[in-house]
Amino acid sequence: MRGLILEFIIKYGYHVNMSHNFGFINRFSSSWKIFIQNPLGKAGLSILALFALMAFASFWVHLLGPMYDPMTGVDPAVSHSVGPNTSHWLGTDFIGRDIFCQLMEGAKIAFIVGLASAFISIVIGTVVGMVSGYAGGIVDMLLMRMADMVMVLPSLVILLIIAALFGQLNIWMIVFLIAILRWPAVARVIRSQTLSLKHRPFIEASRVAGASNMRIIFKHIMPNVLPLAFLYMTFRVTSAILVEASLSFLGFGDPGQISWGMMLQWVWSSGHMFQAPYWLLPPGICISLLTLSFYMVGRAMDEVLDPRLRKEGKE
Amino acid sequence: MNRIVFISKKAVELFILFFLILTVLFFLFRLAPGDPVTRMVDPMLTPEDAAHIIEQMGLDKPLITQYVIYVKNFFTGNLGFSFHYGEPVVQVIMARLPCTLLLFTTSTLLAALAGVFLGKISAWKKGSRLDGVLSISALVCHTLFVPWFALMMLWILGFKVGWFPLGGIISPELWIEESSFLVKTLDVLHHMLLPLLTLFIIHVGSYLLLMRSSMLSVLKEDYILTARAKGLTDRVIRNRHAAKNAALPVVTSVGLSLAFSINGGALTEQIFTWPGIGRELIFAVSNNDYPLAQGCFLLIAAVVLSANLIVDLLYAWLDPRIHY
Amino acid sequence: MALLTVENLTVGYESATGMVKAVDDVSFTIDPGTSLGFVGESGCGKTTIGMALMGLLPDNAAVLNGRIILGDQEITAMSEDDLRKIRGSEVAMIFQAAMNALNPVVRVGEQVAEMIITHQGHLSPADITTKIEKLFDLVEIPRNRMNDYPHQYSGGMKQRAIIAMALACDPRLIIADEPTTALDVVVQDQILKEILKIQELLDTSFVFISHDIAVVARVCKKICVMYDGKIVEAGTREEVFQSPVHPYTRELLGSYLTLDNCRHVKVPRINSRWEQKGWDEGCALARLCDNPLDPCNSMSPGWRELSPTHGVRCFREASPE
Repeated sequence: MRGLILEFIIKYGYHVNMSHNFGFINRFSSSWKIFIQNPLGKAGLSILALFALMAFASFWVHLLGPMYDPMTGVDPAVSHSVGPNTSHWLGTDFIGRDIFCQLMEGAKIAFIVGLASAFISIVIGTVVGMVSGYAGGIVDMLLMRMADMVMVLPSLVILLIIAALFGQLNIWMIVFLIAILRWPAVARVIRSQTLSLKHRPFIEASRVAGASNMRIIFKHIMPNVLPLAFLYMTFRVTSAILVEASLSFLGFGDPGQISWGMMLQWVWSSGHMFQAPYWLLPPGICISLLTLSFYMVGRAMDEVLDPRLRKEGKE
Repeated sequence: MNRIVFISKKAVELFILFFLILTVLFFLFRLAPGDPVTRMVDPMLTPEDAAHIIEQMGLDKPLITQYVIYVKNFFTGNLGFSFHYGEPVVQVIMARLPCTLLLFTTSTLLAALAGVFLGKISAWKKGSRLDGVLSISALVCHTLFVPWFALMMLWILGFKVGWFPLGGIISPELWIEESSFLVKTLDVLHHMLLPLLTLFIIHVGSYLLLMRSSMLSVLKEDYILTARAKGLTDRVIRNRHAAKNAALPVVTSVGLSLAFSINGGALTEQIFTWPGIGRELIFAVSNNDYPLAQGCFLLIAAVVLSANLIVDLLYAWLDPRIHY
Repeated sequence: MALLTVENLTVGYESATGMVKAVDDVSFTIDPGTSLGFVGESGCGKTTIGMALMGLLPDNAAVLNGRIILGDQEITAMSEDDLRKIRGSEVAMIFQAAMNALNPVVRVGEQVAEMIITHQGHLSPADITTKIEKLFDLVEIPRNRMNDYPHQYSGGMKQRAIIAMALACDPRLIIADEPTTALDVVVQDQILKEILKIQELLDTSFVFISHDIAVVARVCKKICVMYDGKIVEAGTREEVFQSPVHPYTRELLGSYLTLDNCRHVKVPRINSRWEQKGWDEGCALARLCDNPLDPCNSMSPGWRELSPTHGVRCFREASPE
């Protein structure tokens, strides 16, 4: 008798799980339709596409010739900062390097830093959030206390102190440090989502069928919290890009990489900030626009995930 | 009574956190590559003075003893000597603290009040053109890159138009000669206006958006329908019933965004050469003035944590449901 | 003269599929000091009627036809400013207790005072306090709880506070929308007794909306049974309970479990919203009927008066035995 019930529950649990996986694909295409109708989503995605194009283009910029290398390319004809002209669309910086190429390189760096850092943040935050939510009790309390503490810390200031002690930071070090300072926000959201999922029937069914906790967390809870995690990834990306840019601006970024923050550092420290708007404006505008587009995409995704925000019909 | 318990718990938590930061900093300073002694002792000092400092900070003793001395020193206000200034670190940072607090608190307060007010209106008039304009502006403000925007402000309003000084907190000429208190105050305000405006614009956007979405969800609540059924005017419903409830999450988020605002504050201080702790920290780090950097960092941490506590206090005072 | 007259009221909601009629050609009157109950399942339009009486319809709803006349004022033609003046003072509303009907950050006493100050602002603070105290006594909330916050009240107390708030300015009409639905039966009983007491003491008329016909019957002398926007049967509670004509009414009554009938109870079949065909192509209830007559599927039944107080919307002549 018990065996039959157990068999039924395993079948039921498995069936529900399978439908979750198939349903995911259907849900994705209907989510996409909602997303693309949202004006914020459309605008955000278009701007993002533009920057992605710039980032990809930066791989091929060396085809234009050594003069255009963002780091070392010095135009022999120009040895100081000039305004936009035909051979240099945005002009050159104070040692004759092409600004537009630097901008494209910066796009690449921004995407790498933003996405990598956000991804690590999400991984840490999701795992912590799921474990915390599912385990409850003392584990939950300790993890959340830790999250509270980390959340209070100002990331730039901490990075500065670390830069002071450990010397010039490598770009991947920066990515990693930003990620470990910014995961708590994700963890909290994932935790509350996990808490609400914990008591759903299919989870109970899996538990009764003897699935280990690890299996339940990763096979059953994770697919359901991942959309939320990706939503928050967009906010982490903006935060990471901004912190890296600030750090570079202050002169503590990776000297081997050209990021938009670094470009602003050069404008400022070379004293050109008031004389060279073609140099001052583009990096800052790019940082703001990229941040804006990620934010817009995030808000549009928010609408997809939360049906109450949708502007459908008039009900 | 319960509110006091709530606040005491929070205060203890933050104190423990500060202690943890203190400890981690201790270990970081000693574990980082290089000789820790060079970080505590100014390499320019004479051997006798150097030996004196080493003894005072216990740098020749085992780690545990060093730690105890370190903690004791901190609580007695001894944070070492700045390499650059040759003065006790405590003196340097305490002189900078008022400038930062002045700029930081004023800008946060103004931005929060304006953001709440505008967000309330924006939500009430949802879908109108005013709402559209406010929301988009808020979104743009929210995503501005701080140092770049500060540079732009400096360039346009300070350099091109010349309305504002290009930095600093005072015009020394006014202070050397005998000027009235009023003139001196106005001078400080004149210098403060540009960084204040910069910080204000950067922060008002997020408060506006937050208040707007909070207000929109509050307006769907049942007690708003009750208020309408009572025949109350729109203004009363908006302010007394909706905004009062909608403002609560905004207060919490002020606390959460304090870390972010400190970053922006430090960058703004740097650009406007406002003599605050943020700028001092950046200076110390650039110049390898380790004791000063440590002191600035600890003070910033203390300020952030205290600000968090104040925000929690405010929330507990505002929300009558706090009773745990 | 009737206190409230509703003539051919039709209210529609804008939806993704067009205008949906929530209330369809409804007429009734209420005399001073009497109570009228509206019974029906979810979506029959009873709450919409309540909202329309106060002019509190949401933005996507509109009065398509008809008039509502309270005393000598036509509510359907009033401006928002004028409506605000009568809301609370002439006609007040009692909501469900489960709803978050009280502002969580304002003390309960203050919220009641707000009602008084808005409409009777000439009273001195001392008078207002006395008035609130009397109201609390009336609804049996201890006076020392006046300055508490809503979260400190139990569900029943919250409901009584809401009743006190509705009574604050002595309105002529009170609309009670499912006031006991979220409460347990013991508290439900208390609240109903409260309402009966108020009906005796004061001269207030009630419009009582509920899906529970037994609750409505306790409080109202006249009952309207609604389905899909129309009134299908209306009469005194004796007429409706003892000689119901409409098959739907009979099913509603018959679905009540008592010790005698618990083995034979038949629950009315619930038509999902998609299957409801509305009244345009015949009787909306034709599908539920056991033996519909010929016209039921093609013609919409009109209103038939069986007596001065009892009317029904059905083609049947008399109640089948």
